[in-house]
Amino acid sequence: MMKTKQVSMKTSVLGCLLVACALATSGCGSLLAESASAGAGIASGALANAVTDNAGVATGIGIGVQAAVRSGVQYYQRKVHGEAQAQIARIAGPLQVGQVRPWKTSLSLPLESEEAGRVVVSRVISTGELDCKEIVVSVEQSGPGALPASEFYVASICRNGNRWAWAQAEPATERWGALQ
Amino acid sequence: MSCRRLEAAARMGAALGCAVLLSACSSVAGITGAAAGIASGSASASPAVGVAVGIGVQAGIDASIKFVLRRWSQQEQARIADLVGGMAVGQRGPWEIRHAVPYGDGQGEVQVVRAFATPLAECKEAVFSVEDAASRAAGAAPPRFVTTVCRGDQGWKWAAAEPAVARWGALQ
Repeated sequence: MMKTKQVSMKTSVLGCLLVACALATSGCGSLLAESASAGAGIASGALANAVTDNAGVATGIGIGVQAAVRSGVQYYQRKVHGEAQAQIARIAGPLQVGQVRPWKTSLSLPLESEEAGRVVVSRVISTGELDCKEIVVSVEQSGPGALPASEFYVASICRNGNRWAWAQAEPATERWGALQ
Repeated sequence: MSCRRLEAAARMGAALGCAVLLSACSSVAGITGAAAGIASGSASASPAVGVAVGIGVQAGIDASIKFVLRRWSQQEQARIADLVGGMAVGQRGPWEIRHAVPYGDGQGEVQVVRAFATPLAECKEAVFSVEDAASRAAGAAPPRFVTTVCRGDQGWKWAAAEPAVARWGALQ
């Protein structure tokens, strides 16, 4: 009985990992977080049931692991997204107003599609110690294929010492709503 | 016996789900998941099955609700971007979005404050207000927000980029 449980749990963990990998390569961020955390929660709930007969404890372990995995996935998603932002900011930083340069992201983990496009500085927001610029970024390629139509985004970048960084502040919390 | 308990738990879950849907859409998933967990736990007598079903249902509903709400936000952004695209700097007009389901509807005013052209795209900056019940009841002015829209191959679109990851914090 115990052995069957362990085998079925191993299968479910393997299944979860496969689903997580498939989702990661397709670049589907929110689904990845949901599925990975749900899968881990289910697997650990099953494991907890193998060692305890207490439903409350099993549920607690399942939900605890689910929460930990979700925040872990989101941490790595933010990490690779931060890399992409830093790469665009580094290219856009030294440009003059109206100057266009191509950009391409190269990510350390395949949690998002690698993208490419062009960037132009549209305005100098401030100079001197607070050195900031407004940029227009086009995304023309996502993953292996070119996008059917280019998409444009406007962001701000600021210079911190020698390094240009993405400086767009978060949306007002009233406007965040369903985006989380 | 267990069938009757299952039915009662499911009914309780449905009622709770409906009540919460009206107040705060995004928390439905947890409650529905919990109800599904209770229902399947009492049906199968195995706590692990209850946990698994509960968590699975919660994740499924979480993803679907987020998908729908994000789609509504996108429709609101598309409406505002479209209006801004057709307006000149200084021009002001009303905006309104009505969804098929009467939830998440919005309205207010929008004014174009700046237009700028770059070698990549033509863009406009706009200030828009969102009428809400709270400020209307208090007799205060509705909250105002600033955004940017750009013209691409498929018309004017919302172009405000995502926040810097360092400012992401607890927002997601």
